[in-house]
Amino acid sequence: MAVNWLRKLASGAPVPVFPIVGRAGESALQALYLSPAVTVTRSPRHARALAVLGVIGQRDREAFRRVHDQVPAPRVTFWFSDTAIPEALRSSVVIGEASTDIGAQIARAAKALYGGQPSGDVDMCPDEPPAPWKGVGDGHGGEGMMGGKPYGRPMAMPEDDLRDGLQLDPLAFSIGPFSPLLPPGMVVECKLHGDVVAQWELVGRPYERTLAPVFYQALEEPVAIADLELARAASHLRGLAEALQLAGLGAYANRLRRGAARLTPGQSVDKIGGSGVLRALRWSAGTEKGVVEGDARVRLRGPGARAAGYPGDARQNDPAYAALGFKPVTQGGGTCVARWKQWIEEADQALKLAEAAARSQTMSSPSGLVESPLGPLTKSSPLPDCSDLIDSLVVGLEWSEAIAVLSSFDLPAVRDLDSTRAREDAS
Amino acid sequence: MELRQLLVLLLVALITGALGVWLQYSPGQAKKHIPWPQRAPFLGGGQPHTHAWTRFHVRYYPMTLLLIAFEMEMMFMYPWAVVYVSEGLKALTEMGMFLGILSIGILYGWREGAFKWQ
Repeated sequence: MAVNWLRKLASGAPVPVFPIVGRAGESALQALYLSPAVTVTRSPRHARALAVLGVIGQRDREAFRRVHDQVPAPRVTFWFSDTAIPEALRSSVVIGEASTDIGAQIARAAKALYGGQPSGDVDMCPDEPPAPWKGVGDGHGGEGMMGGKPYGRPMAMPEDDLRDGLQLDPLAFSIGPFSPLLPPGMVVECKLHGDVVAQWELVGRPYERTLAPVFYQALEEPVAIADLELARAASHLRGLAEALQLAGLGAYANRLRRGAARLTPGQSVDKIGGSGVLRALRWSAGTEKGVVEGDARVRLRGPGARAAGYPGDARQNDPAYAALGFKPVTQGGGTCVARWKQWIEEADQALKLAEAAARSQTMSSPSGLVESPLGPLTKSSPLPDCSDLIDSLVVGLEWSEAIAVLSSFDLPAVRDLDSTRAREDAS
Repeated sequence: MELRQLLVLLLVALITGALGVWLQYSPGQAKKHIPWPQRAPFLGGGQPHTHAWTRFHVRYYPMTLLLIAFEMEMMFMYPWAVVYVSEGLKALTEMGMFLGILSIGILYGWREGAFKWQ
């Protein structure tokens, strides 16, 4: 009786979902954030459903299996992806449709699961210790104190601590490609001394980012500058929302995401996101860290480079922008907080430009070069990935500072026009 | 009277213990099995390379030094305040020397970053 009542209550609540974001899965992730039928969790442990959004590369299939099994059973997996469904999940997976509300589809499938309709997914990994230890050696399976293997995993060997050379044990692990702390697809080999990052080695680059279609369209034909600028502001605001989420301000992050989804020309970023909340970002960890200098500024391109004082912006070459009185916004310092401030000011500027452009019906002048939210985009050379820049920036920072610094960058490569078009044709 | 109170306490302890044992081992309550993949830390598909039994420095020594310095000051200043009126300059000199020695520790802690908020 009580259990049925609890089950009924549970089925009425938003379904906690952990998203697995693959290539070209960004728009589906945003749709998931905006859906009132689900809540997006930061860990599979808190989820009842798994949403596979975008294409998962062959490299990451094993990681997918591990994350899938970390969602407690009974679970439902929602497939919104062109990736082939694994054999074990074929009978239970719920295939989503692009045209309708993803969140509502997940909620329907999860409610059927609560009602006891399907039995949920089977596990994909064997239910056995990843590092067997029972019956090995004595005690906890150890083979000695130093270099032994208690519970099957080798003990860390002492090494000089980064700060003062004390001989202490590092904690080594790999993180990604589906960690919400990193861009989707990014895999890092990390070593911590206490809470300080001692080593950060990029072993898997993040998936390419798909930009709003208007940026690709602007490469070939005149488009309304109001549309371009609204798309730019939305992209920057989503970046800020991620920073707020990492700072533990999930409700404010969702408010910003909702604002970014329905931007209108002339709006103020302060009103959308709350000026106090955005200003409060400067108090989070690591704001003065992650300084980009020298040649790295040019490689970083886009808002990241402008936050370090490099004024390069392809919009300066467009006579239509010149007529609107456009001048690039820049910051000094190239710190984490300067990059966040750059996003806020560029989004504000974009909304003002959109208002002026909408009033005068200004169209862009196609020259084969468009300033995208990540940097200059051309038909022949899409923006390359620069996530290896992080390796040297985060060593020596505390973990929270390193993650804040990472959230202030837009590092992934951008998908080129042809592959984006091929995907649109296929769908 | 006391024996009766003790017996009541013993009874309460026994009932509480029995209830706990019943909740833990009562038939019909299958022990929830946590699969091995769920016992691993969540690293977004990544894995730990070493055991979690690592020794790292909690770095509280400078903070401990400060605590002891200020605590010792207060501990001796209360009785000192009582005898100060009768002893006069002699007590003031002795306390000055004592605080001087302690303040060296505070200066050392300052140099080591004990006042730096992390």
